[in-house]
Amino acid sequence: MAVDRRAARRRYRTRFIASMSVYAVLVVLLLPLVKRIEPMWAKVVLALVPLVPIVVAISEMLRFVASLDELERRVQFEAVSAALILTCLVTFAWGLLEIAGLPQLRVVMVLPLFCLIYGLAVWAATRKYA
Amino acid sequence: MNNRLRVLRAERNWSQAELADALGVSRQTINAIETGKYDPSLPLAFKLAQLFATSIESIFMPDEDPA
Repeated sequence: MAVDRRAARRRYRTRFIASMSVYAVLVVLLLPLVKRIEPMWAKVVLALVPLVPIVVAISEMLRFVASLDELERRVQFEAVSAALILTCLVTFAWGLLEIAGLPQLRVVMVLPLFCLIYGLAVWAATRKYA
Repeated sequence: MNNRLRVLRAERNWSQAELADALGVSRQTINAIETGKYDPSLPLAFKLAQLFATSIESIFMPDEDPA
């Protein structure tokens, strides 16, 4: 059982890092082409290609969560809840500040913000039960 | 909730990792239960009781009522 849990964790880490590496390469290679390529449907397809490794990473996350025990799932639940609430708060506050003249927040920045808060929240929730 | 898990485990000379392995949970989960930071679900409490061949009530005790 312990071996299965360790294997699941290792598989998740390997596949998650691989997916995000592919994502980074695709963003660097494809996004500069999006503005230059024609017609419009090609722009749309090219812009969405980096989404493929993100979907793979999400499916690996779901599989990983399914392999966790009840306390580990609680840690994940608390972290996701905190990340959701804080991301909503920050983006909504920023939206109000845009009216006051602050620069517009790009929608593409919301996911990295969520991931950053989620990472910190996992660390905090893990410490709480240690 | 208080519990006698650490005592029961020590009586059998099991490590936290061995107990965790027998229950299919992480060692951190066993540690969190023993230190009172986490109360297990009813299914996990039943598994513990079965493993130690005793009742749930003899492992877990409610906190003293402050009133």
